[in-house]
Amino acid sequence: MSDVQKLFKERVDRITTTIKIEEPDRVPITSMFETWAGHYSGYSVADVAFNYDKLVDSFCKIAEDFEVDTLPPPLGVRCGRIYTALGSNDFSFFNKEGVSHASVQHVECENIMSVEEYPELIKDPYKFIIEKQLPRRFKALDQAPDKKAEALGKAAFLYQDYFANAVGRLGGILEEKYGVPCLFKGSTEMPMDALMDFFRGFKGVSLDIRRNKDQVLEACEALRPLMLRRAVQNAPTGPFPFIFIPLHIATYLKPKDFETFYFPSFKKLIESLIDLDMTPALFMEGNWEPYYDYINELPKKKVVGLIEHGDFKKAKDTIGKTITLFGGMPIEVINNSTKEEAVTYAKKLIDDLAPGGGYIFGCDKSLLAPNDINPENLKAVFKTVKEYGVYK
Amino acid sequence: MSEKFQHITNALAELDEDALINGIEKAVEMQPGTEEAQEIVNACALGMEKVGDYFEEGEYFVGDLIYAADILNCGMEKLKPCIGAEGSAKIGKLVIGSAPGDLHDIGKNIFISMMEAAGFEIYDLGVDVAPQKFVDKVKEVKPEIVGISGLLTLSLETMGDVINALKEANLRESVKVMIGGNPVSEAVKLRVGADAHSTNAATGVKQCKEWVVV
Repeated sequence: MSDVQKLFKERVDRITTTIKIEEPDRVPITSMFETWAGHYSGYSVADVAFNYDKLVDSFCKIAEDFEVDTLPPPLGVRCGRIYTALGSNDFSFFNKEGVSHASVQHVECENIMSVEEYPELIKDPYKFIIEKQLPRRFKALDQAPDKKAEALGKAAFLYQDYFANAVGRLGGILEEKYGVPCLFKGSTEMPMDALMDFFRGFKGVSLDIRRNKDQVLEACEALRPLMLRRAVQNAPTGPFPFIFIPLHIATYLKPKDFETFYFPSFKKLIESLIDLDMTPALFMEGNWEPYYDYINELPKKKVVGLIEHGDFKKAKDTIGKTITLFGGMPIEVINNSTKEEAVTYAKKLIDDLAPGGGYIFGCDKSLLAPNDINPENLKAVFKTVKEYGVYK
Repeated sequence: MSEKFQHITNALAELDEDALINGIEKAVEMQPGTEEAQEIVNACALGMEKVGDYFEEGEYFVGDLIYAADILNCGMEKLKPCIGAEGSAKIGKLVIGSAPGDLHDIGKNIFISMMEAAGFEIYDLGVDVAPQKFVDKVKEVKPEIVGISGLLTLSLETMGDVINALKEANLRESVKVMIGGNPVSEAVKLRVGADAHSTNAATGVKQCKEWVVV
């Protein structure tokens, strides 16, 4: 076994052990490197979204300079070619002068689906998506059938090309050259988040849970099989069966509404993924403290949760026996304090979160814009975790 | 403040849409004069203030603020015929927009709804607003408050560009500047030279009211 292969195996073991909530040799390290990876190499968002060589280069540079144990696939960068070919109305890479944004921007399309269309969505969500929702999100799909078919064909080709020549190629190089396994195998969304993000918008869903309660619940149930299919259809790209799931509307709901509307389809989807031997990796955006009781109802030691806000010691004590905690290192601390202060903070995080395993060290937020993280402080923090995070 | 419309205040505070609309409809049937209609508007403003308090206490969440603003809008529609041509009394003016380079506006729109409910006259410049557009609007309408909203960390820099443009146009002293959005903090406020920052609509509105109420 070559050194790189050995390194790869060590890293895989480290992560597979910790997610069983057992102690590995040391705390594994990663972060949600997204478009910042490009900025770090001097590339704009448009560079890495459209040019796969630059995309691959910039993520390899992260592996090389930061020596992380695993990296997420570059899906957060998104494929500029596909969104452009389809004429996306919601994702944008350039400002109105045609200059690259500092991070990919998503404009909320309110009312992609009107409130009157709930019955249609509930009856046949797939049909509704193909015939109504996609044409409203993508200009190229809002055309006569022959043109629409042409656009879809082109997008399918671009999608395959992207997975082969960007995502797949990068995964191969990271594994073979740097011994870095890919963190996620696929991604999906929770049904109610999908309903908000791509059908009704934030305001729409916030009003619907008051005025159209049953329809919201039925729509979540109708979307659930599609969200499961979205998770499992992706080609395997790494050794971990992690499915990345960003959670969006949850922390904007009071616990009672969370329980009524969000939790039923959330729990069922997580259970289905676990039945298929997948590990749901939940991006718990916002402060999840009011919902910890619900997290404790999930199957034990089968879920990873990236935490952003709140008292992390409390998180460890409350939900740390149920799920593996990931993240917690505030980018604000890394950017606005001295190297020594940042390192001290990281040690405290390890003291609080690492005992017994079930912890992956990382920043609390995704790294997107040029100034999102101070690379020198981040390197110092990672170095500390490698020394201080060793289990004895 | 008369207690005649207390039920309207309560209905809004408790997010009881039917009771709120019923209460306003009944009041409208009595053909209130401009002055009495203004009392109903004030009752609603009080209700919204309570909604803000519940939010700060952690009882209401952001979704509740959105719903509160929406049922209030429905109520105001019903009341419109009773409020004279000049509309209800305003307590101040706000010029607001998303920071240059930032296309996000969900938070800004929630803030605007609550500011409207609190009695402010709003001039919404939209998203990705150039510093000069802020300057031009401030010259034109002479607001007490300028709001700059942002979600991206990039906006933390461009908020400073807006404030500098106001300084260069000699307008900075005539307005209070509030920066708002998830990434703002006390440190950012000091760095860009704003007067206040807020990560949620409720506390932002409270601050703005303090500024205009003498």
